[in-house]
Amino acid sequence: MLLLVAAFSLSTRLLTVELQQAAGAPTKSMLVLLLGDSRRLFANHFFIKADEYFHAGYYPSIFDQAAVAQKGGGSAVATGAVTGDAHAGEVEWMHGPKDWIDRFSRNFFPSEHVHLDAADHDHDGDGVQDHGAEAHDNHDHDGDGKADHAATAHDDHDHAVQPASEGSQLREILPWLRIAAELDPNRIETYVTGSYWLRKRMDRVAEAEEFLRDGLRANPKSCALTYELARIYDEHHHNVARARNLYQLALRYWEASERLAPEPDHFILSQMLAQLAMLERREGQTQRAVFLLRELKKISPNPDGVEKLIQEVLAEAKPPGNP
Amino acid sequence: MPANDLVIQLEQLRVEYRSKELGQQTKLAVNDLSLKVHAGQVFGFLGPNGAGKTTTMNVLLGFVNPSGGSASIFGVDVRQPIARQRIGYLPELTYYYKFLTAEELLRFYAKIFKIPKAETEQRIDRILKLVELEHARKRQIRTYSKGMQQRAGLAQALINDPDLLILDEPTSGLDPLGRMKVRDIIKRLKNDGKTVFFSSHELGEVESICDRVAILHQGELKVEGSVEELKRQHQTHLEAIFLKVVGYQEAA
Amino acid sequence: MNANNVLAISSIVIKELYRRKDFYVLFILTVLITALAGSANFFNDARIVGWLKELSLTLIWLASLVIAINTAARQIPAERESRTIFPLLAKPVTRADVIVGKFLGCWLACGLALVVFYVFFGIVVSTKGGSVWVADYVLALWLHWMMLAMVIALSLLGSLLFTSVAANVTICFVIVVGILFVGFHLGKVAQQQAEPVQSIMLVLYNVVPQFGFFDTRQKLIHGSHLALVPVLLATLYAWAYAAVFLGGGWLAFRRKALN
Repeated sequence: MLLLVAAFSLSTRLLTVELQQAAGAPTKSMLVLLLGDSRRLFANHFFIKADEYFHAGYYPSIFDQAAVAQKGGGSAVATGAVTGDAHAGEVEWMHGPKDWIDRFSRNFFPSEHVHLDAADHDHDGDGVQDHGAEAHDNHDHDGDGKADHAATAHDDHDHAVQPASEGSQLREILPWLRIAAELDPNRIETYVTGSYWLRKRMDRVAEAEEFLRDGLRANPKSCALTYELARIYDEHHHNVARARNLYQLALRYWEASERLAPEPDHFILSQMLAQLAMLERREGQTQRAVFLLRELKKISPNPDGVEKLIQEVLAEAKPPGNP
Repeated sequence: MPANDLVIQLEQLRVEYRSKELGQQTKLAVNDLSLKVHAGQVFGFLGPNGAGKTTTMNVLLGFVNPSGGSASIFGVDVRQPIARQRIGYLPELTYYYKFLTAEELLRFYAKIFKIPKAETEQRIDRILKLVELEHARKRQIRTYSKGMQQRAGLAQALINDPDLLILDEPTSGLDPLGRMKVRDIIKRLKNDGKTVFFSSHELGEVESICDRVAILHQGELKVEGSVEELKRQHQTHLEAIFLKVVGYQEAA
Repeated sequence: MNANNVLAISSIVIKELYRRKDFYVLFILTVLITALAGSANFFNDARIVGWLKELSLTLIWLASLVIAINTAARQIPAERESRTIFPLLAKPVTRADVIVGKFLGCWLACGLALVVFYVFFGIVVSTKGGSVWVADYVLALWLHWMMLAMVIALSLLGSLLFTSVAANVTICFVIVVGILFVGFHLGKVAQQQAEPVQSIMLVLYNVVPQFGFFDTRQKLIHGSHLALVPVLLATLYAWAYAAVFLGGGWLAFRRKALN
């Protein structure tokens, strides 16, 4: 019996060491140790939970998803929505009620398709959106091109009237993203999604940056996370040099990990090229900007649009009066 | 005795159980039992184990339905709940709600009998004094000794001031002092004009307090009559009569 | 059936529940887990309350099912085992009085427990800065209580059909939780099956008590409001099923030997 206990204790200790080495960093979470590989399943569940909260509880069950998939309608799950890609791939799964149970049951759970980010723009509680999503990006609510208040005003709900219902609280998705990241630190999408909502809609730039850095600690050479960090320095800290360095680092990471992959992720590459090109354009680095845009044109699904942009950049660079 | 004096009346009572033994469909627990108990009597219901005494009591109390014949209490069919309005019952094994105190137990049963609140409290005081449980009235029954539980059982049987008391082995498990107290209570009830119907294996006790007895054996009534009459008839004491009736042969 | 007897028996059941430890243990566990969870910091935002509401409500539902099923499942078996059923039925009390009295006692006791849980829930939400829509909370509590009426009646019926209390508790749990998870979806799944499985599933779909009608957690979490008319209709639905289960329990109890 003593030998059995000793053997069991030793194997538990060795497994911990092995897990730490495999993860590349000391695993701090007891949850990760206890759940083993099933933590990834839980992490996925909690990521979907964030999406469910993004839809204020209006969400298909696995049976609804199966029914939609069987009809060949794509995915009824729209985690694209919570990743910030509104309505990407969303298919309406709740149609008219099929029977009295279906009809009656809709009185007892959320049965209206909403997105929390849309609800967030109804400040006077009249059910009508007061402005588009972009107004939050630059805090220009009256559309005159100037920021109406500092970023912190959103934290204080510095509007005339409080939001109508707490169902419009986008912050509610955050715990699920945090838990999902805790359970599967190697899932990049969680950090990208979390940092997007933190910086874009909640004006919590510092928290977004910290979240990304947590992700980078677990995934040191992630081009997606590096790119997101670059955007923070670019759009929020307005630190051009650092942003540029990070964009370039992200591109190098992409080259190292994606270039030779069977299906390289051109979507993220195009985002990185576009953002760096815009930065160079703003800094007056026309040649650099054009070079990047030409690289973008090679992979873009809309090369004509990119070419038009190249021409605009070139036109900006010509001295006035020079045709 | 006038017919309206009848407290218990059994007419050709028959109770059959489904038997668990192989090859036997039903077991006859009580076979054509006819019995009358009049008001004011202390009636001893005797018989060896398995004679059918408890089954007969179960029929009187409505726990078991008769397979044939009839049973009535105060002229009311025993299957009607109202038949139990004027009876008090003390089971052989006395278990009560352990989480209740004696006081709460009596209050619960008083509520079932719809006894008004003021009168309930008076009765509780009187009965607890009678059964000598005053000192423990606010303690939960789980803390009681066996004797105390038995006395709590007697108390609940008396809460509705019943005209008929059905007692199943009332002195079982009690020490001599406890047995004496129970006998005293039965005598007091008799003096108050109550009818007591009880089963017991303590034949000496039965002989001293009962007016009439009936002896059952294998589900059938073997002997019934007043104690004095039976002793005169058989020229011996009750225990010998009992043994003779059940067919016990003393070893030579 | 006698209302006086039913009330007397129900009062004993309520006394039993608050003298046992079950409710207090579950309540303290719920409070501790919620308090621990409430102390977690997510991105320095102290106003996040949704996940705490979900955790708290899940614990409340779990605790209420444990209390309801366990309390109801042991009522009649305990009376028979401890032989307290004999002095009780020796009074002018019918078996129907016992069944209904036990049901009412369990149901009222669970209702009191629910009030305590939901008040706690309201306190948790308000301390986190969330809105407490009292009308919605009251309606949600009412529906939850109605659901427990069906669960308790089912558990009482089970206690008369199954010999073992543990078996009854397990089966009731599996049925209730199973219906909560998949009850609404049986119809959809049935459509994908071949006969005769499809017909069987459709019958089940229409006949099983749809506990999901009473599960308004998602509405409470996400701040949607409840309407009165559906709540009233759901109440009638619950009473109908509870009556059916109690009726079945009475029929089973009538034929049952007491020892």
